[in-house]
Amino acid sequence: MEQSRLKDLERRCVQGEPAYCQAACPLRVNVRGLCAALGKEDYGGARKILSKAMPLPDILGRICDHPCEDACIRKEKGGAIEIGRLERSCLEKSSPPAPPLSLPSRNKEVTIYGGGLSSMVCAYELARKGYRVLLEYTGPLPGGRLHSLPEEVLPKSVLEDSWKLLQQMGVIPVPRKKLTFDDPREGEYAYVGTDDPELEHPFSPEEVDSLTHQTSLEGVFVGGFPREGKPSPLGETVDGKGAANSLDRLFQGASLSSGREKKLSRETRLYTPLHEVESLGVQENPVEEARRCLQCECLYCVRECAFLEHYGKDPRLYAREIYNNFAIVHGHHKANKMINSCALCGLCEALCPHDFSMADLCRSSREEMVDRGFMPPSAHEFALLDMEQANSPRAAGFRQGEKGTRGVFFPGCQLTATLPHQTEALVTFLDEKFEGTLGLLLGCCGAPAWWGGRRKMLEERMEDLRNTLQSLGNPPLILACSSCNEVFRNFLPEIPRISLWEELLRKGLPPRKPLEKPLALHDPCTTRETPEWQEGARTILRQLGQPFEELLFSGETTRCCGYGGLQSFAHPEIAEEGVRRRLEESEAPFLTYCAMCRESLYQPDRRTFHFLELLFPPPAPPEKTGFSRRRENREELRRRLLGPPECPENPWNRLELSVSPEVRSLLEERHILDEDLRQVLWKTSKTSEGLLSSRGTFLARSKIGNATFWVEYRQEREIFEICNAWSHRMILELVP
Amino acid sequence: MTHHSRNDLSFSSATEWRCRCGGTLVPRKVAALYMGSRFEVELPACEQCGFILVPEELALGKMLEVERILEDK
Repeated sequence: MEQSRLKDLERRCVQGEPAYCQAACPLRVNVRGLCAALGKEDYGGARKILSKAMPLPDILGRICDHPCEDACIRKEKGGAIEIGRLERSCLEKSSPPAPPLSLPSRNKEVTIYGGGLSSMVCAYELARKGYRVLLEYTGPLPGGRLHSLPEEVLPKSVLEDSWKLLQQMGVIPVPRKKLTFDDPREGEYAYVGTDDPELEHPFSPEEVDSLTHQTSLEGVFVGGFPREGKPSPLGETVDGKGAANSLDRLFQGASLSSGREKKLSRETRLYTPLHEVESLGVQENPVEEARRCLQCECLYCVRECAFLEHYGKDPRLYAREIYNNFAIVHGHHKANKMINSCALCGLCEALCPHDFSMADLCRSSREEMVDRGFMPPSAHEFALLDMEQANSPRAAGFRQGEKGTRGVFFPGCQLTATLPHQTEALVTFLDEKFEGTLGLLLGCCGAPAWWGGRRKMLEERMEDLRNTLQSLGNPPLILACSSCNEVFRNFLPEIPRISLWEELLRKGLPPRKPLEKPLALHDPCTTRETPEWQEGARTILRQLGQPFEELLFSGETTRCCGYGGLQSFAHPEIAEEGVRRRLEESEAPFLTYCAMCRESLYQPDRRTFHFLELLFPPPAPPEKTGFSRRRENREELRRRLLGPPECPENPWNRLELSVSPEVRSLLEERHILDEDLRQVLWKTSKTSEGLLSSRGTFLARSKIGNATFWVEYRQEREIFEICNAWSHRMILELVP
Repeated sequence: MTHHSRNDLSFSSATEWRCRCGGTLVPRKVAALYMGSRFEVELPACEQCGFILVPEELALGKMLEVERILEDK
């Protein structure tokens, strides 16, 4: 993974962007943090957050113009948070801290003209940085315009305490009868705070640089002008702080303007979705009001994805972690499992305002892991072997139409595996509609290889398919599975394709009665970018008169069933959580047009229908098929539709197994196939190897491929009753 | 090939199994190999024919955990 790619990905994710309120504040007060602290009644913590960005917070926090409130997106959901009131409450309920630690004295002096807020802030900032500060003012106390504010808005004691604080920090009071600034003395550095109405000065706002507060007079900085014709405490604070920054830069010999434009920006790229936020009006109690803060962040993708949520991070951190995973030469590749746990479904990209795609990132990372030899061998092996079986001569094959081939139906390996009877009925139906011109191609498209990062394996599969289709004269492919469609769309784009659903609409649907109850329509995640598939499915339902409901996440933002990206193999817990969330979206039985969605969403107490079950209803509701039965179904359907394969039958095929439902579910969970059991039993039957238990069971062992399988069984005449089975990949040898 | 000592894989509890050859299972020193790593453990094996037992809880517990760690190396 290139560093430039990492940077691009990190830039796309807006999670690190400031909240709307913070972006609107020129001081960048962390309002989100302030509200969080107040919500926990942590007034001291709230004051600390305020003081971090706000000089002399006891003054400004009570009188700020709070542009943050206008920016607050809570305003659409019950009213903006009253941030000004919260700041005041935080200041009233916490004690002012000790004076901040000042830097060592720098032997430079600045004279500040005027006792207004901008001057006090400038004095505060410069004193903190170790400069000698003289503050010229009139009257008994600095404060300028602030003295005219009512006691309940700004108590006199706050001004007195702030002035005491400045003096404790070393600011030298220079009381004057008359306050004027004309020209600087030679070598004088000065700030002129025009917000003190007693100060006479020659400056107008046009003469002052708004970014640096520089004037044409060297060493003289000016600020404190009204904003849009009105005095602005926030503007005054920004000016005082900004001028102090310029003076500091000047003394340090640094550029006065570099890097400051960005700070002035009031923009944020943050995106906070509001569709699930409930409206709540302004609360009188400040703690309750603070709790109304939405704590704006994006994390839209994270909240809606069981995978992203599981690892508890935001996409920027995932990208960084994946980048680091590739940097490891010797050591533990900690991100491997995470990379393999993504369903590659693309929901994050559909939700992200800047198209951050974990799918692209994880898919290319898997390819790189395979290329560099550190893809864990067990991660996808079972699925890849399933693909191998689906493309073996026992399960795959093709035929032309009797009278030529004007279209080729490719049902995909999982439809034939899970709904063989409906697939057969469909082929008969299509054969009639095509009047003997329908070709048939059975096999797997190669999606598991694509998802597993096995690019070479995928290319070999594409080459095979390309040659087969060429031999049939490249007629249009009729696809029942949207994952196959994604593979063809990306890797065999030259082959014309159409969805089975659109083709059925063209040829006419079989006459069927709809089910009375409405069904919740689940779009497969691989139709996200093919609206024609989604629309085809809906048109079929309308023509059938089948009532259905749209789920909250459907169409472009549909959710994955957990099979996508081989998630259920790499991380079954995440896949199960995804299914749980999906099924929570409706209480109705589900309906889908992907065989694996139907299989993955299956629950013993909750039916999920496939479209073919509506069009070619089975006599009894089929159950979840399971891995072993799926393989057998493929082979049996291949025999029925294309005749027996040319290869001889495996000798162990005829061994008869008896498997209880409990053991069956254990075998499925452990990815142990009947085929594995039969092979172990057949191989060991040729030897006297194995163990016996006191219960009268036998334990047989054999290595098949990369795994060693153990089978505990009882034998009653010719039937093997399977009691238990397990496997491991380590190889064991006796040490002599 | 790296050599480790992985005593945590060893399985010393009594076993209900006996060998079909007639021998009894006794703890024996066994080499476990995976992903280019090799370490020695003690597992129940037949004293006569040397048939090694990998009990279910070991295969699905510690052994699986170590396999995963080695795969991520």
